Amino acid sequence: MNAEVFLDLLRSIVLFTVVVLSVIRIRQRKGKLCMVFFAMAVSSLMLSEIYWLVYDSLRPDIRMPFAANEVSEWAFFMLLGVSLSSRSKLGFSESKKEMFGAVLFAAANVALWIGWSGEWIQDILTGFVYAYFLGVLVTKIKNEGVLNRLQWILLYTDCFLLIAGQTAIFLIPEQLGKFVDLSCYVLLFATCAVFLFAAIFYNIKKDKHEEAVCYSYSAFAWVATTMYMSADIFYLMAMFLSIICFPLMYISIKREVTEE
Amino acid sequence: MIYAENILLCIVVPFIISMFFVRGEVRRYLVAFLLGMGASLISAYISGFVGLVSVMSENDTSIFISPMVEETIKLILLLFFLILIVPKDKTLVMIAVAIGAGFSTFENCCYILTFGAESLTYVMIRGLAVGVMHVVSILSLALWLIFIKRLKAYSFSGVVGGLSLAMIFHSLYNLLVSEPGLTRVIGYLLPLLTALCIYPVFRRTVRSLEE
Repeated sequence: MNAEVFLDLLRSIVLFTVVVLSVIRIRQRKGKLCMVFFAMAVSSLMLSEIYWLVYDSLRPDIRMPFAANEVSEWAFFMLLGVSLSSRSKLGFSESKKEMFGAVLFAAANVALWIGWSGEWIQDILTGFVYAYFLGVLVTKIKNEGVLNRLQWILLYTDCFLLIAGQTAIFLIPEQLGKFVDLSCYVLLFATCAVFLFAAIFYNIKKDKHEEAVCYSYSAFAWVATTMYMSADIFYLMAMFLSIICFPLMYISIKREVTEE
Repeated sequence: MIYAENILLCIVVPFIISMFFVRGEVRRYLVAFLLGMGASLISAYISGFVGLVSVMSENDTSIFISPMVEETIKLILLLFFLILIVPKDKTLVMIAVAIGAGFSTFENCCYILTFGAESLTYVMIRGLAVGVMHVVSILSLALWLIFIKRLKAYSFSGVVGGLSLAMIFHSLYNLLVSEPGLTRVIGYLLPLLTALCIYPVFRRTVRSLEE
């Protein structure tokens, strides 16, 4: 069993556990709408993972064509966005700047994915749902006032440096490109660490449930971005971090609902 | 080669005639059943076309493309009923079951005419696996639609979420049965096991709808 299959198996088990726990809360009528959509989102991703595992075991050396697991991943991002927006009405008019930034970042990511894989239609469609999720997330963060002005500037700078660095790799000599690539990985994983620590910190703190939700979802969004931008060992590291994000998101929603 | 349109006409005519002599829920069931059969034919056309355009083999088309096309067509049909006649939740469940049953009946007819019906065991497996799979996938989709409607959370994302689950369930079945051995056995058991899991939910939903 290679490392990727092992991590996929682990991810499926964690996702299954999160689905079961969410369903129990929904059945106890403790879960609200956000929990319903969260459970549905995680179920979509879990089945997508199982599908990939089955495919990999049956046809290990053949690249998977466009299949239903891609649709499940799109649904996952959409449902995750709905789970964020279903709790309280989001004021999109208050976060126009941030929404624009999120869409721009998603568009730049899509351009990079196309540059790497050449799969135009799949990447563009994934970009749409990814942009939707990021848009809802930044609106929620802005509405709740989770990030201050300095933190927003740092996040924008981070995103800009990342996109600029990855774009530059296409244009600069290979030797320099390797250095820039490594710098981008440092930036990606450092930001992952910041978001994850913040998510854990606010999930432990009792009266900060809005912050816990925003940071947990942000941690996942950033880890997903890292996964899409990474290869080889870095991809596996990002995948491992994504496994941590699901329980964090579940705990943050659970606490939010319970404290209400 | 089989003439699927001719087979459809042959099966549909007695049903259409019988529709003149029945009323109410039974007639609705028949209409949904016939439309399910038609949807099966249209899905086969679309899957075949997509397979040709994307230069996929016949086997790969049935494993990867057909589940997406078939579930989308079934959902469109369900939404058509939902928007056109605005049925009660109980009727929607019945319509979903009829669409699924019609779909799998026609698919099984074509399959048997193509590959023969000599082996009773294989025909039974085919009936219990594919027959149940189409009913289960659309029934779960209908239950999900009713659930989000009751929560007043009807949205595009919600519908796509339900559709994606139906698609991946169907794809998983097709992928599992595509290879011989243990995976095929698991594939054949998957719809039946899912049906057993869904049945209590279905019973509870129907009971709550009757109340």
